[in-house]
Amino acid sequence: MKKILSMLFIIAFAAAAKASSFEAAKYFAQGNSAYTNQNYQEAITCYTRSAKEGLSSPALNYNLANAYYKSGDLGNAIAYYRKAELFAPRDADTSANLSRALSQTEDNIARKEVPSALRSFFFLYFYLGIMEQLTVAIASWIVAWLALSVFIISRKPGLRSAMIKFAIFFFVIAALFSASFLHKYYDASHQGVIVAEEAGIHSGPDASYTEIFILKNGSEVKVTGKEGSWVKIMVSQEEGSQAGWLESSQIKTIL
Amino acid sequence: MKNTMKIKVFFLTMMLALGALAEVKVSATCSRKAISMDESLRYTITVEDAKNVSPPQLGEKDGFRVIMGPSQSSNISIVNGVQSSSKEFSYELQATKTGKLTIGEAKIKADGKTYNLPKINIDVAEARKSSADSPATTETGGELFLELDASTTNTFVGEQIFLTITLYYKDVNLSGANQPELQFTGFNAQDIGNYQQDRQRYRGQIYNYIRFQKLIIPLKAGKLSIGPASMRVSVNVPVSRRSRSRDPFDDPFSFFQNYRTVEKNVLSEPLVFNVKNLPSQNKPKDFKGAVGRFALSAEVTPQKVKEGEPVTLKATLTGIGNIDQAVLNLASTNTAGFTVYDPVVDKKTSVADGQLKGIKNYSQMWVPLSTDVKELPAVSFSYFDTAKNDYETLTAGPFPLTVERSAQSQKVTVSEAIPVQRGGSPTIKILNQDIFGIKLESGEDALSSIRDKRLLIIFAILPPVIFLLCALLAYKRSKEEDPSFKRKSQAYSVAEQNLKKARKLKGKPEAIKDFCGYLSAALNDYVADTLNLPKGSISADTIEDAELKKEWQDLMTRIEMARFAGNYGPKCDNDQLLSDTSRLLKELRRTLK
Repeated sequence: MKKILSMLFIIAFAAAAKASSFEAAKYFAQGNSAYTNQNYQEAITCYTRSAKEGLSSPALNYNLANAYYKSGDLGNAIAYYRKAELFAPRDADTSANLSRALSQTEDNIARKEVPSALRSFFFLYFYLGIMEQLTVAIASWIVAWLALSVFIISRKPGLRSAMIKFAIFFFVIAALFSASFLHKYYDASHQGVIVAEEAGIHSGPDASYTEIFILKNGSEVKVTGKEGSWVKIMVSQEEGSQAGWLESSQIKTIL
Repeated sequence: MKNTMKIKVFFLTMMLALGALAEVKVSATCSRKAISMDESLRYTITVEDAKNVSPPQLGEKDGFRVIMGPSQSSNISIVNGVQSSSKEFSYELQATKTGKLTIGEAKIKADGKTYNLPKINIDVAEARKSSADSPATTETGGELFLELDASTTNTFVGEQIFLTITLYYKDVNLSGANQPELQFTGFNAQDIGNYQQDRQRYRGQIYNYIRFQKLIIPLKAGKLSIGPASMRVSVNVPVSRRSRSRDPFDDPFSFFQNYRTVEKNVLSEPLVFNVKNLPSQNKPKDFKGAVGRFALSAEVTPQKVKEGEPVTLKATLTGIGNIDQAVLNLASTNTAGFTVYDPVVDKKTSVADGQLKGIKNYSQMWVPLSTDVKELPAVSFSYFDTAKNDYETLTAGPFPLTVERSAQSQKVTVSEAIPVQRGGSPTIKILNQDIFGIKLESGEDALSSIRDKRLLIIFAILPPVIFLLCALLAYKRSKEEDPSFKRKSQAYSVAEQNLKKARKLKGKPEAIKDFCGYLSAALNDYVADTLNLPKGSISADTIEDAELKKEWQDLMTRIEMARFAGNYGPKCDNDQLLSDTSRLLKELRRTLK
């Protein structure tokens, strides 16, 4: 009886997932159609519904960013380009459009570019998307444990020796890629873009605090804390960093 | 009837035999004994009454070149039953030098025999100069001459000269003409357009003409000569009627052949130019070699921009002259207050009224970098005016410009334009700017795995669980293979089995010995198996715990008493013995590890 119930549960779950996937694809296609007809607000609505239905591919984020860009919302466009770039860093269209959107922001705040030497040395970090890094980490983890299992069961000395080396190697790979994934994930979840036309940055988590400076739509900031509906941010500039608080509705984090 | 046929065959055979017996005759003739350099002659080798003839080998022909041939023709005739045949090899020869020249001995092989042909002397004179007064006369009596003409012969270095090479002909059946060849040094020449072919009145007479046009630019000063121009033409010359029989059956092939083609090389008079250097006096600094007459116009759009926004300078240079050398003096890339991009240059030329006219359009993007910029600097162009015999400098601008402060700092990205390096090639012309379009495929759901934490936990936990199971399996396998472990692990169950057997026998006097034996075995075997000792070696001393040892001794004594004395006395009560043994076993199990 228990077995029958579990099977029914699995079938229902799979069917629901498939239905959800179908709906997501439908909204995605509708979004594309609206975009082509230059109805960018409708395209944004469709893409957002597609995301709610479970689709979160780089293409969806890219298209959503394009729709925001075309509708004049640079902040959301940059946030979604960044999100698309997080999952597909090798996509040339995303990089080009992101550069273009960034060049149109009013505040001249640019993220610190990583030196090319460092990019070459840690090329896998920059070359692989966050999901690819996680996949490599999980695959290495599984392979390492399986090698360890073979090592403990096997009675052949040669095989045992090879398996233990194999396991150590893949444990190291898994650790490196896990660290890389976690760093990217942490970085993205602490990266924000100003989506309000103008956001007043206060000295404390309330409007009663003094307004220190103003950030314009599309400025990229680092999120360093949260209190209630207020978010603490930090802006890096050449002459030094500026920190302050703003309402969470005025900012969008990448993840 | 049969006899008549036989006679005909006999006669025919005889005729052929007579023909075969005829003597082979070989001769060489020339169409003319004296020619000029611009004419050609026909050299013919005739072989008569030969069956097999190989192509001849011409002898020494120093001073002549073959311009056509050999062309072959054959002729067979039967007159009054006598067959005769002849074969001709014809060459069109042209002299390459003047004087008394000789066409050397030619050799020809006919019917296996080699025949030598005699030398022929030819007088070669200078080419006849072509002029209207004495145009070259062809063999047919028509006129054919080449004229070389220039727009001016008194000129400056760099000034363009329009050159025409015209082939005039009258009463000549011209079948072909090659491109003219022009000998020159110290000039730069280029062809202009296609040739023209028409009729025109030239010095009182109507001529057909073919005209080629060239543009030449003298590169150095002095007396420079150009030409003579030469042109190779093909003329159809009628075959002289005197040389032809009126009877078409005499030469059936030549009946339809009214013309033969003669190749002629027509020469013109050379032209001498008096080329002067451009004066060094008043030469502007930005003069780059343009000579002619030019005009300059320029404008800047828009005239009001925000800083960082581009303006376009459009300048147009038009005129008559060497437009290739006409280079507008534009600002360099390091002009203060601007980012300047390489100009895009568009050039068009056309020929009209014997002059080469040109237009050069410049389009250059300037990006003002600050509001301090008030104007775009002037552009200038210097040239040498051939009409005024002096230098001229044309200027346009400066162009007033209003630059407003920008609300945003415009950054020029690589995708918009490529900044120009000094002396670099022209940049890509950006027409419009836009982002790249949307993606039509939704792609894989990249985040699903991250969001579905259950899957992540399964992936993280499952492999270590598998490993633990394997480890457990390995451990169990190793223990199973250890006999002492096996004895120890099965010790209690063996003791239980002995107790079970004893329980079945309790209260049966006839089985008292077996009953006691099972109880004794349960205790002894359990201790032996647990401590991995040989069975039968167990005594009270094996047990270290003093209390248990005493209990062990007491119980074993009672079992022994029951075994030999039977069920006598309270100490030999079967139930009591059974429960005491069971209790002691549990105590031993707890104590012995």
